Amino acid sequence: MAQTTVAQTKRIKDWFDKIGSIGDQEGDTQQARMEHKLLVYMGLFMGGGGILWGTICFFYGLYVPAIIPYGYTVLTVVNFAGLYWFKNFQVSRFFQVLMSLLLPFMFQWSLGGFVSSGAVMLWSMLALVGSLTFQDIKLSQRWLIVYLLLTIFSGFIDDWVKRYALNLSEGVTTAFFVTNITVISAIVFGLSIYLLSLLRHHQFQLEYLVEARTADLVQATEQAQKERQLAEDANRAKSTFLAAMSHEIRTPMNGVIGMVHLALDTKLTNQQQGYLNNILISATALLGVINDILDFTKIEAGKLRMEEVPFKLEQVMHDVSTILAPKIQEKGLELLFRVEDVPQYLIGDPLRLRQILLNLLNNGIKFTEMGEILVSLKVVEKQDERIKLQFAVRDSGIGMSAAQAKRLFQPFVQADDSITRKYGGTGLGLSISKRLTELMGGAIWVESTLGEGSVFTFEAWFGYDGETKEVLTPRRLDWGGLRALVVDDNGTAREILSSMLDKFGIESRAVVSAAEALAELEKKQETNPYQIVLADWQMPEMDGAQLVAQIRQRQNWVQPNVLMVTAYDSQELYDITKPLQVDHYLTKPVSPSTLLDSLTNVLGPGKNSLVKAPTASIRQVRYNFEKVHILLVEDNEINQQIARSLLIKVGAEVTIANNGQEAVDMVCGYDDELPYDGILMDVQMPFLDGYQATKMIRDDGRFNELPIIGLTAHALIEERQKGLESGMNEQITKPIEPELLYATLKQWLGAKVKSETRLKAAARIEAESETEQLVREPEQGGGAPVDEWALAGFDARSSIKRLAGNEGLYRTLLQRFAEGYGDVVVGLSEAMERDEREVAIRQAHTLKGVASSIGALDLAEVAGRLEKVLKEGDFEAGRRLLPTAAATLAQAIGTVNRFLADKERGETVEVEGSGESEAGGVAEMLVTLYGYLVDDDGEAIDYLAEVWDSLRHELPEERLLALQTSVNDFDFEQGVIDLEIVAEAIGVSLEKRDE
Amino acid sequence: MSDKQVVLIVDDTADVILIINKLLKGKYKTKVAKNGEKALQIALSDSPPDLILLDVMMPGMDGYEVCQRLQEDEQGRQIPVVFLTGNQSAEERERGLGLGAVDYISKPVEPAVLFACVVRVLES
Repeated sequence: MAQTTVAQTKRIKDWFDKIGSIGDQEGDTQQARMEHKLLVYMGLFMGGGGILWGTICFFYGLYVPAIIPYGYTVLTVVNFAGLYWFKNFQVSRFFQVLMSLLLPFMFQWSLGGFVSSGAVMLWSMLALVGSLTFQDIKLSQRWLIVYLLLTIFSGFIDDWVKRYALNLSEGVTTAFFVTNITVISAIVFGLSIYLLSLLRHHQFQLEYLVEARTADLVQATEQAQKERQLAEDANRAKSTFLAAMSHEIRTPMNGVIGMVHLALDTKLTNQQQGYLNNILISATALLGVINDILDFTKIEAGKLRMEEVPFKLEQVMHDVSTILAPKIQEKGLELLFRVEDVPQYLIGDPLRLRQILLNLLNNGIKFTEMGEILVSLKVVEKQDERIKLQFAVRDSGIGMSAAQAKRLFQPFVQADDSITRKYGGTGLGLSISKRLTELMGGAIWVESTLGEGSVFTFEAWFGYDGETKEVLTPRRLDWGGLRALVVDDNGTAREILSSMLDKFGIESRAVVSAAEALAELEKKQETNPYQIVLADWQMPEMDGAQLVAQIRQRQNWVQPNVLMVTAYDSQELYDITKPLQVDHYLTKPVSPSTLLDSLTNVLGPGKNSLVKAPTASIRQVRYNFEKVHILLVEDNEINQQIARSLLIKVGAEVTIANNGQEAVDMVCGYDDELPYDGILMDVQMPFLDGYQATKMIRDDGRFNELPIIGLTAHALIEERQKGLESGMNEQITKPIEPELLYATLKQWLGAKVKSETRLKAAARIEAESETEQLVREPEQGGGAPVDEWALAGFDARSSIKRLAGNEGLYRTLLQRFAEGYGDVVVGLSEAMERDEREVAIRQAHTLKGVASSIGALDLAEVAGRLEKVLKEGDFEAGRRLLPTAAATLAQAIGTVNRFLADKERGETVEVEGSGESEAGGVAEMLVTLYGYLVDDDGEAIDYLAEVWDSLRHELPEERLLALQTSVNDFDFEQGVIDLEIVAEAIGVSLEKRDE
Repeated sequence: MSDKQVVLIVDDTADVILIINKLLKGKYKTKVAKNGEKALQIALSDSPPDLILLDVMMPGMDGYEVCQRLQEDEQGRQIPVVFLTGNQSAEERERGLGLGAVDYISKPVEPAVLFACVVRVLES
């Protein structure tokens, strides 16, 4: 029963809904649908009322008044049909409201005026207007006005209406009255319900919305948290990955670069040397890219921290110039520094500053084919404790357009895609530099003109301790009246040197060539001779060394002090100028303070000088680690070998600990004075890592002064910080840069070592002309002529001397040794196995003898020890020595074989060359090479390598270098030109054989 | 003149030429060009190569253009071209082969692959 009621109610509701939506159209808003419903329901109500009224009137025989409500109902149905068909809500509403207002008016007229019960009906129409209010307030206001006017109007015509009104019976009047009151109550009740429901609906809606929103929010928050967690995890994973990759990549790179360094120190053919150099360049480039990417990622992640350490600006400049020297030299450019009054001692991140400068300078070098690159440095703003410096790097390269310049600092973007092809590079350098300068509180920008070069400028803030400041120029030096002549082919360099001299109170004049310098010196001989000559080494036509030679030859002149300026440390320059009494060497960049030091060294400070005591310049302090004992802690054998070789190369004594524990035992186990002057400690080691080991050593309390330098494959500041916290003095990254290793060690090694080296250097300056070092240096490799009897680990010279200089005999000995002694250790061990003591002793003895005779010192020593223990009958010790002996022997034989093979190859070429007349041989080679080059034949490169030694034997090497470069670069067109120049110089005709 | 077949190596990077030159030397005579212009000059000369190993990315005239110019020439059309490229995308490959190249070798060059490719092209 209840169910049917519910079902019926639902059906009625559906029916109402359906009727209510006759005016609806697709796409109507909720509001519009609501309005349609309201209108229809009102019409239904009024229409229903019309039927009721009509029926009552009809019942009482009032036929005319019955027509009015019936008519109203009919018109309402018609109006809704119109709404259903035409869907024009506005029109339908207008009619409906109009009808509703006219209806009571008609009633009033037909039923007897406003005082009659019909008037009550009129008032009831207020409900209609009220309901309209919900739809449209403005509209309903207008209708209200119309309604009031009608009411007033009907008041005026009330009397007239009454006259014609129908006379109603008491019953009808009562019925009207009752229905009216009922209807009005119903309407009021209905409206209240409606309003309430509306209100509740709103409330509910609100509640619902709030709830929904809250749920959404909660979900969103959860989601966000989840995502954040994910992102954080990812980021952490990325950082770990980066750190791991950095380590994983750098460790093998360390092996590659280190081994190449070592290999380059061995005796190599020209070709091998070339290949190895290429490997080194590629490996270094790769390392650079890896570092760039690491840096970039760190900057992106906001993880890059700037250090705040005191540093000397000049050192940064010097580093930059040293690192770039080979490139600068290779391209024949000039790198110049113009430093205005800038404090030298700053606080900041010198490595990052160096990185920015290197990035900009490398760029400059890359895009500059000829000319100079100038770095200008000046102070832009000075505050109490900080200072803003501006660095400008100006090149004379290809430049770029404004559009290109704009995109330049974006990551992975270069001026042009074709640039990537031609010049290479990741395009990260500038983007990194930009971020770095921003981290230093500054900015970077570029001004450039296509074809004329670019100026990259950046500014950065540095900490600056006002108290320890050292400004160079204002010091009064008593060098007044001195005159200096500056000789340099580069205008900017002349200008820089002259302005510095000017600040020191030295009058100067600058000339562009050695010839002009000689003329100028000559001119002033009588009147006012120069006391100082600052000469650039590398100049066209007559170079600095030749100029000095010329000056020194003119013995009747007043001899000036000569300061030689050179772009790089060069053994060659020392060798050339050794007899010429060059008073001092200055390496570019010449900064005010280095020039000051040099001048002080040469001239003395003058009488009222405030200048600090002269210090040995870097040049004199060559790295010499004699009597320095380093404990090398490293678990990886290859790295051990590399570091050890690097240290031994400069004369240090090296003891190896294979892990942290061993190191701690070796250091803390000492009761007496520790034999080590310093420790080189790998950071990553099994058992006890470098940090822990360092901490344990420091915790001992006795070794707080012992320098401990960390070796790490991580280039991260965090690592460095960790190292410093553990008690390390400094950390250097692998791959080990030899220069950096030496410099760092030198910086931290105790005073005893340092002073010793310095004393030596000072002594050398005094000895001046006959420095032992200069004589000894060539033996240590470098550009000096290679000893043709250089066998690694052999003292060949002494042996030959013992053989009365008979090199042929020595060679035969070597040959016999290599051929006949390969398995002597095997024989020896077999003899021991068979317990034939005498045989074993004899074998060991023979080996010792042969080894000594050919100068194989290591082998002789091992063999001697073996012989000794065997003689003592200690076979156990003998057996333990066997592996060492075998290894040493194998190594010695290997060395000899390689040496003999090289020797033989060299001779074959010589024999070929000397088969004909010598000039003819060279001519033949050049013609053949010319043929290959003209023909673009790939054979050219191998042919040149083949005949290189013979050519070099006959012709000065400088002449051949250009040719070699272009051929090795497969630039055969240039090669043809270079070859023609060579041929012309020696008067060889290159006519092709087949022409 | 030797009766060895001639391979022209075209690449703007000296190292690449060096490696390929080493690899092919002995079995073949090699000629080298460091840019597109030079390559065309050699290919259209009186003694053209039997095969061209052509780098795609070169400053100035790139490999595609060289290949196209070769196709426009009676003599050039006869010379098989094998592209060398660092870019392994299908479109690039398609473009190269569409221009008349016989094969495609990606960098870094795998010596065995390159050698096998050259032998196959020259002996077919």
